[in-house]
Amino acid sequence: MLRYIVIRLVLVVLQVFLVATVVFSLLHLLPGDPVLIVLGSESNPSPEVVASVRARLGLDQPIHIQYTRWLQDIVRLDFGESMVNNQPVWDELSKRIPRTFELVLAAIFIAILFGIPLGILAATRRNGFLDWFSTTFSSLGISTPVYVIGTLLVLLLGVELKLLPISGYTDLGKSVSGHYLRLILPAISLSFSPMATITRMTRSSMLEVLNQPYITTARAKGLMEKIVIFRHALRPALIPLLTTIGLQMGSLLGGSVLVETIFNWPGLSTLLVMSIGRRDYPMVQGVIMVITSSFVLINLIVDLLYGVVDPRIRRA
Amino acid sequence: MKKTLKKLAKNPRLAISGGILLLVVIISLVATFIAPYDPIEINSRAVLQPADSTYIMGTDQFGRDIYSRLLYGARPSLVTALGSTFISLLIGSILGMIAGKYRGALEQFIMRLMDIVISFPPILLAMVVVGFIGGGVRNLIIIIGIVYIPTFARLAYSSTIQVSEMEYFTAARCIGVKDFRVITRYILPNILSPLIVQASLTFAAAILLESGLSFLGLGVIPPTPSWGLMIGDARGYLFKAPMFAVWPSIAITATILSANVFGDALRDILDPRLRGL
Repeated sequence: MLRYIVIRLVLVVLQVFLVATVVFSLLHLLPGDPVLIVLGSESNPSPEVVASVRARLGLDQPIHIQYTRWLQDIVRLDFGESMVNNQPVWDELSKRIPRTFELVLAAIFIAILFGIPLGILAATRRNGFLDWFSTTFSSLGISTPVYVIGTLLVLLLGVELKLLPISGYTDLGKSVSGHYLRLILPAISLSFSPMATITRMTRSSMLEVLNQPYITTARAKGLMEKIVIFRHALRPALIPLLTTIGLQMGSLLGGSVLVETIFNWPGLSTLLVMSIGRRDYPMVQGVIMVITSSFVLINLIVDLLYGVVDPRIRRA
Repeated sequence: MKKTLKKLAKNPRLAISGGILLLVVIISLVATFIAPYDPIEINSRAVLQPADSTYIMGTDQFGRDIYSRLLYGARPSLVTALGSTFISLLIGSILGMIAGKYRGALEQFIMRLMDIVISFPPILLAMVVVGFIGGGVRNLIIIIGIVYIPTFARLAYSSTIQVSEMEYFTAARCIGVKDFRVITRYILPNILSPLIVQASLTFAAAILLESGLSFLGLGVIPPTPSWGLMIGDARGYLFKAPMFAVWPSIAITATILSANVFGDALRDILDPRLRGL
């Protein structure tokens, strides 16, 4: 197990390093002068402005020096300074990271809470109404864009029924109820797509397990159906779901971009949209590094958990 | 071949979803003739009108006819999705087949490159590139196309390896069939159906991505009508004109749903091993 963890850790460090390399190269890979790209095509900057931006972004240095400096800095979580207010990028990031994670975790929690039971019910009542319902629901959930769900929920619960606050963020320290009330709608909007995928995967993996000979044995022994399903079938059926959930967390980090914008949730994604609008390049780099590294880390955690749940993996 | 086509025509899910997709394509082609108004003509005297006999879905914040914009709005989504799916299908399958056929250093290089692209959430990569070099359909096609290359590369790669382990493949090599011919005559036909299925699912994902970017204002450039852009606009007028948000939402969801169902049904028919997943 230790060997497995060490190998995985080395691979993760390597992957984060590659991600950092891509984020560094992105500006250089785009067609045109990096400084002009950062400044935007509409403005017609004077040579002095171009020179000062070039110096601030370190673009006046030879490329290998820029690269080693970038790598050295990000190891210390130094993403440079915002071009808008000259504050360190990390200060802003560290403030917003917990908010985005709260949203993503709440969404995945809701998705698991409803998705797994629905999937089990569908599998055990194959071709019944619940099966039909869960299949339809998951097709719809996968196909409806997250911003459509968000907008329609705002319309229904916020505008028509006036049940919930439709946007904004309240600090937990200020008002606990205000904080969680404002979390509900964005979390639900974000949870639809992973819920649909989890329902679908639970159903198919449950169906697969239920076809195994040992389930027939268990039934033949005269065990109650409830015991067959919850004791014998559920655990092996849930193992492949770990990967699904991990992958979903990753796509939730992407989906949060749209949801945070709709609900004015001051997380990483609203920061990204704002920084792109302001062409605050260091801030954009910082947000991408954080989101993508989290994605990589989540996959690591899933892989390790997988090893814990399914001992066969460790040997591979 | 004939048998497969017959099976395709008989499947109700495939027929219905395919029918809806075809309808959307036709609408986008004939929008010029059936739209009652110019989709970008501003009318300051008819701002945010409710639906009535003049404007059957009402008007938006600039007094533009929502129904006409909805019809025209199919275009950027379809063009972007088709273009980007084509790019990723073409480049991705070529890369995947090369990696699977030649193995070794080339294989490692290609597949690790794909791993890197895949470690970024698609919307993130697309947002940043579009945000800095500008939106518009052409840029969207290129960047969305690049984002989905790894999906096809991985698929083509694993299918190619499967095929290379077959006996007929070894036989072909033994009698000295040339590489190019091996790829076009032996590998490609055998990995085509998973690629087609993946293409229809990627088409749906590309529409989702395009409309999401347009919703954020980082995609199709206004005043060109686009569904995502319309929902983004409507968000500011939910109290005054709630239906403004509802119409494009229905259009986009129906299109993506059809493309997904189409892909799933296609997979059930072409690749029975994956049925029920």
